[in-house]
Amino acid sequence: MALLRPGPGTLLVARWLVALGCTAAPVVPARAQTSPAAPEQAVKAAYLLNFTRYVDWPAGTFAGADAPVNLCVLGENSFGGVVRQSVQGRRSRGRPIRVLEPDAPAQAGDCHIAFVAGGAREARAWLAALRHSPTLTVGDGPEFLGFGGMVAFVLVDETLRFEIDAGAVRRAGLQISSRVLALATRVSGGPAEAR
Amino acid sequence: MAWLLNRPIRQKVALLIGVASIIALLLAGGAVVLYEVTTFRPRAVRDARTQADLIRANSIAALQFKDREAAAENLATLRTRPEILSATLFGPDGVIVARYASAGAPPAPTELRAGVRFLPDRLVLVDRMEVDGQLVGWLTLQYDVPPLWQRLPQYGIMAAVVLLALGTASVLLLGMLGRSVSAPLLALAGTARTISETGEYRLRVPTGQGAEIGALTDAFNHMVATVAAQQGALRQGEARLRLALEAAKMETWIVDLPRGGDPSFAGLLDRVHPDDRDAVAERMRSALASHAGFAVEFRAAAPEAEERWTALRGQIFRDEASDAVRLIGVAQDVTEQRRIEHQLIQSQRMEAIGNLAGGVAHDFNNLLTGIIGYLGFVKRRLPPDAVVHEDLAEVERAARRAAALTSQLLSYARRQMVVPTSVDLNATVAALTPMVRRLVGEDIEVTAELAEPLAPTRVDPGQLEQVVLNLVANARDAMPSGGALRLRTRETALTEEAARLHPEARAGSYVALDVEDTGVGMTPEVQAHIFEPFFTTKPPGAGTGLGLAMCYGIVKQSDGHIMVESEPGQGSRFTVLLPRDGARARAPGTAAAPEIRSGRETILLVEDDETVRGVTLRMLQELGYSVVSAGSAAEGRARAGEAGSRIDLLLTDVVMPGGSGRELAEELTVAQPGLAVLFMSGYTPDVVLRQGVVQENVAFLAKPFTAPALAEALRHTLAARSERGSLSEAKGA
Repeated sequence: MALLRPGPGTLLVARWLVALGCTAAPVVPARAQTSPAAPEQAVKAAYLLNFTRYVDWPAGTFAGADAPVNLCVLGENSFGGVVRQSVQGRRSRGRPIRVLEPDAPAQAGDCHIAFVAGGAREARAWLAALRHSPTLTVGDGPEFLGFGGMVAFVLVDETLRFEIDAGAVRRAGLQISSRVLALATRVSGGPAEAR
Repeated sequence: MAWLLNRPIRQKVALLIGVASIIALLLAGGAVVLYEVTTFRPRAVRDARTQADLIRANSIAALQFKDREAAAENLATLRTRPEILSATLFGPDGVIVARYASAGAPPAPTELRAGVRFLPDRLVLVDRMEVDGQLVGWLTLQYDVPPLWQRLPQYGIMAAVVLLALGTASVLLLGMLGRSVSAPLLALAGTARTISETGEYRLRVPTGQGAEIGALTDAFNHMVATVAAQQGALRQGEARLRLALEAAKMETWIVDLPRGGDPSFAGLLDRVHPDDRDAVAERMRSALASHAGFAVEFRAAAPEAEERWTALRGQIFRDEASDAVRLIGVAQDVTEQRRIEHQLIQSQRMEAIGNLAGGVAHDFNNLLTGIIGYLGFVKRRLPPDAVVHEDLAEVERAARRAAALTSQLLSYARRQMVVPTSVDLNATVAALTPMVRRLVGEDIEVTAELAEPLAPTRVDPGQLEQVVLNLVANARDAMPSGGALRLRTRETALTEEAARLHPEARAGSYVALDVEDTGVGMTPEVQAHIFEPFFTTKPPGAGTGLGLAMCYGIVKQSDGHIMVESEPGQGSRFTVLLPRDGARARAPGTAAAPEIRSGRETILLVEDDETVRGVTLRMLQELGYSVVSAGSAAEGRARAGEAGSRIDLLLTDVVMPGGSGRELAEELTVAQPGLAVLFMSGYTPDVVLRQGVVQENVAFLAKPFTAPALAEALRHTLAARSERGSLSEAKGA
């Protein structure tokens, strides 16, 4: 396995799948399979779920220990299905995951974490609606942070990475784990300028 | 084991320490293994898990966000942990995400199964990483757990330290042991050796230690003291025994017998006179055969001319099989004993001969009393001019010679009536010298050496004269062709030593008379018999053989002693030892001329011999006395009762069957205190004598006697009674 090197123009995820197929190690359960149609979207969906595990919401955000984490997909709806499929049956720190797809920003108040899809204008609208909510906002591209978002997916060497605006996160009353901050390609707006 | 027992204590202790060290090391090894199993491995697992948890905490986010670089960077921090050989992170699909390996690390395990495995040199931990029940990835960790043998050097240092400590302790311990155990023991052994070699039992081992060594030392010293005491006692006993043997003139001897075979007794027989060897060997062989002890006397094989006798007494020692293995006993020079025994036998023989002679003489005297008495009556009846007077005179002469012979026999038998008085021997010899000169004749020169002053002696003067004259006659006969005769008086003392050589002699002060001649001398054999009666070297008819026997008897009766020294051709010397008398000597008195005196008194005559009684009765009657006659003591007692106080004098024989004259005299004297007593006897047995001498107040008449002698004795006795009577009257007044 160590012989396999990522080649140019190939997504890491795809290579993992190839490797899986080639080696067919039976000990590894095939839980990580995603739809071949949207491998990048599946990775993003998995990251979203992972973010919920490294974020602390303000006290009182959840009704109880078993209260679900509301994962919202805002804007473009095509992504919602991938996310639903990805988080199906998963839990985050013991809490069930509930995928919400509100139609209007006014309805997005319950979101604990929200993926904001769509163009700049649409994104700004959503972000504005969530400005006062303890909602971790995730979007595509570095410009998303400029819109006021907190976490932005970026492609680095064809690998999906992310940047974080720690100030925005903090302003929202959230605490994001330093382990995640350490993984970010860039952290802005915070005292801890990692990397 | 025997080998160990023979080792010095130091080696034994060293061996024990070695064994103890090995056991300690084995125990330590066991402890290490135990530690390994119970402590070391679980701790390694714990450490590995802690590391794995750290890696997981640091890397799980990187795995979740699929950040290979971050994961690799995280793992790279493990460089600071050398015990971690490798760490590998796998994705949930089993693909390696990140890997860290130290130099020379073994390849990571490929089998992803959660758990912990121990390989010989490392621990392999596979951790399944899950988040919220979702597999996130795998972590494999190879943790360096060096095999036991690689860690042993560490334990080896410990072991070396332990061994060094043990070694040091051992050296110290052995040193102390040497001082506290070996040195005292060696000192003890050295002292014991010195004592056994030198016999110096005063040596002691220095004490001062306690415990076992001290107890041993004390016990040793005590033992030495005990042995010394016992040795001393043994030496004392030996010395005592040696002194006793020396005093007894004894020596011990041992003869080892050859096993089997006939013993020759060679060493022993060398000391035996050749003539006695066969007899001694035979005696010892018979003792061996009879299983008894033995005693044998033999002449010693001595170079001296003198004959020495040795008595050998011994016992036979036998082994378990009852075979005689040695003879052991004492040897004693018994020459002196034999000589004394010989002399004792000699004197006993002479005593026996004396008894015989005395018995014969007694009977002879009775007979002669009758012969002489009746001869006197016959002579008086015959007219003075009768022709038979001549014949009767011959008969009387013969009777008197017989009486003289009997008297000599009695002298030898020491039963002559003696009246010892204090006598000056010098005076006696001086008075006799003229007679001696006449006796020996012209050819013999007579000299007398008289020691002045000379103590008086106590002896019967008449007997003393007889002794001198007999010895002179004997000397004369030893010098038929002339020579010299010397009479010598002196005072001498017989020491105990000298008295021992003569069993009959008693030690004490004596007055001695030596009669020396220059005659033919005598052989020892002749000397041995010289004093026996009827022993003579003279031709038949030349001598009676009674002369020296009489001398012997007289001297013995006088508590003296007579000895002879002689050698053939060298002359002889007779020595007469007479006891010294404390009383003053009386000058030899002159005997009054006999005078026949008659009397009127009543006399009780008691005599068992009919002849003697008859002749005596007639003598008494012719003298004018009234006579009551009895044939025994009992009859005399009866007659005395009948006669009452008329009896003035008791004339009695001494030895009679049915009661002695002495007893009768005592009885009658009690009844009639004024009674005079006159004993008559052929000899003087002990019933009359007190301590061998006649008491002065007891009158005694020797048989045979003549009528005038009887008359004189009667008058003398009666006169003595009158003196006593008037004396008692004077006292009474």
